[in-house]
Amino acid sequence: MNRNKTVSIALVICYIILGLSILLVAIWLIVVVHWHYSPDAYQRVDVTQTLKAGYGLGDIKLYLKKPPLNEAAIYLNQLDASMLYWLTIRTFIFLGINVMIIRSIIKILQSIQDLKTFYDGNITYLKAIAKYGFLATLLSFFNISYFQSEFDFHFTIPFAPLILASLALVLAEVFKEGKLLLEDKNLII
Amino acid sequence: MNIVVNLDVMMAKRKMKLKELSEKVGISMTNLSLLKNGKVRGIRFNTLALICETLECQPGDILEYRKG
Repeated sequence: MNRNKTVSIALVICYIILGLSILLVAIWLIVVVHWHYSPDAYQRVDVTQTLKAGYGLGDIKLYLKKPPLNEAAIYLNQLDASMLYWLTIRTFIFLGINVMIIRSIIKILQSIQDLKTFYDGNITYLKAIAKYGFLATLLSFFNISYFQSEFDFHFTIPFAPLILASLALVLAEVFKEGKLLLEDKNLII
Repeated sequence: MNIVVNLDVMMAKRKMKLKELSEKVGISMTNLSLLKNGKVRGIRFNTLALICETLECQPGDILEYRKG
């Protein structure tokens, strides 16, 4: 019973994250469209961190009142259309990778619920999660930003997706061993 | 495999079909068939005891060790 409860809670969390990821994409798209009609509506949205390298969009700060004086800060209304589209492409890519990873995790959890923990499908899903993790690492270690007629290049080491990919690979091997042990056990009558 | 399973010999002596043995012992026909053909990794003592009780024999009548 405890195992089913744990798996159920994990499934709920995954569905929430999936929903939030899709919601974020929708919100970003609405912002992009609205930006074209009214860019000044976003003079309090600080996107300085978003222009740097890393997994995801980074911190987007929304100031309800006048933002503090900071010459280094970059606000959404100050960006070029091309830069906004570049951020949109990055958003789609990263949230797309998130959705694929979460979907694989959901499939693994559902098979655990069906008592098919060590079957081939789960090993495949774990390897897929590892691939997405490495892809996310590759795509997020650098970023290009273009602001006030200047190009900037940003680099970082994205540890989170790298660790996720490594863990997924290790788990795939563990599940492979588990499958062999289960097959052995099933051949003892 | 060095351990040879002579279950079919014992079943023939007792004139018992696989289906009937499966129902009496409580093991699926698939597993019994695997045992009969020597394709299992092992057999639990309680399974062996049930088969021996049903076929009225000793474990040595069903399992045989051959060198080589």
